[in-house]
Amino acid sequence: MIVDPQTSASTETPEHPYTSATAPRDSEVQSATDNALMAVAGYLRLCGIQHPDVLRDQSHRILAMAIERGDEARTNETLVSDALSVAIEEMQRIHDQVAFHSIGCQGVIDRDVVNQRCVLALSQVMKDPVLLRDGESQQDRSRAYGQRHAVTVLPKRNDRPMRHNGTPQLMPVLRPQWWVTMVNRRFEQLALTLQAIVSPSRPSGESPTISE
Amino acid sequence: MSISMTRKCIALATFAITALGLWAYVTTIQTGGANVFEWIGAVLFGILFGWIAFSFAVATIGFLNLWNNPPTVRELPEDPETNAQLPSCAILVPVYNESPEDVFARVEAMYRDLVRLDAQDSFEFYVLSDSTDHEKWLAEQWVWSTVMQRLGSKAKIYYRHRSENIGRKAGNIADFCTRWSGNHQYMVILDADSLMAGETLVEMVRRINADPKLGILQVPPIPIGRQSIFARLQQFSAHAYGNVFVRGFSRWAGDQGNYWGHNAIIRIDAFRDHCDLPVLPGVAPLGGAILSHDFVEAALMVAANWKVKLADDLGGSYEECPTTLADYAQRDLRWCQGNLQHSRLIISDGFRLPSRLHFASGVMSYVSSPLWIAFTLACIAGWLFDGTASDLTWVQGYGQFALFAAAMMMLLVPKAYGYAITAKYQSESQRCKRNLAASVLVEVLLSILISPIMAILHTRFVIATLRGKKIQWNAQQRGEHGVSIIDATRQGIGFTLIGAALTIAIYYANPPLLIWFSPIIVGLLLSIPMIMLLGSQAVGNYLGRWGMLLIPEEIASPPLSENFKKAYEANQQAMAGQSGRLFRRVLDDPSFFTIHCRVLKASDADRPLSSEQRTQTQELAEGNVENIPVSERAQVLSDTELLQQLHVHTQMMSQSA
Repeated sequence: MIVDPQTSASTETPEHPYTSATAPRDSEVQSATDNALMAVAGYLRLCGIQHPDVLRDQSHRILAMAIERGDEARTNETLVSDALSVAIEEMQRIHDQVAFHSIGCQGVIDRDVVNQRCVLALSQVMKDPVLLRDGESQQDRSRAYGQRHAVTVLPKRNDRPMRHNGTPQLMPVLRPQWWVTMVNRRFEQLALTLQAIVSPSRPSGESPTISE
Repeated sequence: MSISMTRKCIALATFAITALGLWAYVTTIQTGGANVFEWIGAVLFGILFGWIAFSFAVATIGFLNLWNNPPTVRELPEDPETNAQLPSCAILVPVYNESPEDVFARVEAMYRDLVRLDAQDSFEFYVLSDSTDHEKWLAEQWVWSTVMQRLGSKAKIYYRHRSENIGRKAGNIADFCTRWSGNHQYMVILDADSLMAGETLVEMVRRINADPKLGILQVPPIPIGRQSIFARLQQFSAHAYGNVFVRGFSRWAGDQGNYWGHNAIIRIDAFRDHCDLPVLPGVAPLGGAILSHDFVEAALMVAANWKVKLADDLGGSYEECPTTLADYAQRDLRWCQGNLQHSRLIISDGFRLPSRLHFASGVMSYVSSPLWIAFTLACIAGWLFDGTASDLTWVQGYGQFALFAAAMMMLLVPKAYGYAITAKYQSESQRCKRNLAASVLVEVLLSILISPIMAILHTRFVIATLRGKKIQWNAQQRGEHGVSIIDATRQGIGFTLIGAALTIAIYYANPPLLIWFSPIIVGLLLSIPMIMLLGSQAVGNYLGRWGMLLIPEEIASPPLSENFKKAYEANQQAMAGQSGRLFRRVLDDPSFFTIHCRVLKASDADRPLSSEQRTQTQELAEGNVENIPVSERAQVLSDTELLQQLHVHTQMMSQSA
């Protein structure tokens, strides 16, 4: 559906009976299509799609669909409808604006701000119902939009993890192991007492173990 | 009286009352020989009587303390210079499929109150959304952007959406602590229905900042803003009797108090170091992940030698309550499982005794109902199998009647305490005192009628939980919506049938007992009309016009409530006509699209779909974005790249159409 300009040029035949009549119109259409492609690609880029292959494919796909839609309603002669050409013009204007602002701010301008400006202008083009409310001037709309978009969604992250707590154990008296330990200790003490009785000469300051 | 002395007094009083009651009970059942049911009844009686005695002792301490020290809310100094120098505090508003108009209206009201005090620079609001309903999610973003438009970009009100609701509210807060808590020293935790006055927020920061060992400062929230009779009952009870219990609790708990999950300020470093929720051994319902986090976090904090205190002298802390019995039951069902899980922690190592008592109180608030029912059944079985005896002593003859009277007294006297305190300090004219007395009577009467229904509901919840029924933690129904006759019949038919069966059984077994059982029977038999009546906003307002069940915040609305109403109206206007259209709007409206993408990026919630899923979605959206199934929209909204493609596609379609 979308024709490459060079390929298109090579397929044109001067002998064709309608050539003289159609040539200027074809080139007009071709130029409009190129403009549309560039505009769409530019907008996609501002939307965050940067990869050249994806940009090319998506631009072609979108424009093809737009034209298909147009074709359903109109004849091939009106390939680029009035609405689409207006949109393209506006998109180009936006690009100019964005470029101007970028240069004007000497490259300091934040990419988000560029995006926002682009989207602001686009909103106006696309008849954003919020921004185009009756009784609101252009200045009001711009201010409203600016306020809505100048806010910080969230501050910068400052990661500090929570310290993990393990599964709490039962109270010591409710644990069988605790009773085992207690009983062992009792036996140990009993053994020591018996040992003290059997060999009373051992000095009391020492702390003998059962293995001794 | 010192904390230690207060604790000793309460323990002694509880022990003495329980021992006396148990002695009288055992004496009465030995008449004609005690059978096994009577001994079971005696054990249950000991637990239940002890529980009532403890509550009574706490209320008495609270009453005595309040009688000498009025419950006046402190007049806080308004000092703009000091307010501007407060340390940084985050105010967290975790939300889960709530009404965005309500949530952001409360945030706006609190922000404006802080601006009035010139303290707004010290506070940053974080609305932490876990909403799973994509329409609610988008509505939150829409209302948030509208609020920011009203307040200007200087307002520090942030919005974050989590793609997965891991760990529910506790997980939501833990996520904040992990990612953003490094920017702040303290955090105030709110619920979606919480509202706090600027003065209170400032004072909370001052207090926690002044005490380096204070980990959590809880300000008791008071329910406000509802009109149905059921809501008015709760609001009035909290206002009239709440002071007595809160003061008593604060006296004995001291620095080892409790945390109720919201309207509290927390020291972030202490929280991060000690309050990660452990996983309980075993599986649900009593094991696994902890569902009810607040008590556990307070206990962990206390165990680590941090203070957890109750600021019972601070006002300006509000919440909203359920407006119908069904909504209340739904909330209780969720809390029931959470509280029952704490039974494992009562006997776990490492916690302090007061924390174990807080856990036990939570468990008993649900378990006491089935215990009362079991006790009643044991008594009936005991009577049936009991022999007859002659030559009864006074205790044997009238002991059970005296015990019943004592139990009722211990339940009703705290209400009299509350009436006395409120009448003394807050009701200046005779008319106010008359209205207060009438309100207390209405509240007592309705509470008696509701109590058997609540007892059956709690018993059902406890049994359902112990049987392992999975509890859904859905969003709460917070609005005023009344109860239709169909819903009331559906909810109340079971209670009515139980009441009818009980009436017939008692009539045939022992007709004179009907008088004793009348409070239980009447409540059950009238459950259907009562459920309707309790949920009625019109009847509630009618009572309000007569000065009944009113609270001071209704008589003189605080500026905070007025700000909330204005902001709520503005939010409703912003949302007018948007319902059900916001998904389309993300794709149609470049400004909303940008907001959505920024939220995704800032929340770190971008979850790309697989290439197959993307292709499928794009094919569906080719003709019309509305073709994307509702169940998949939340996923689509979480994939920035796909959204970009769909957005551009929609833009181009709208131009070529």
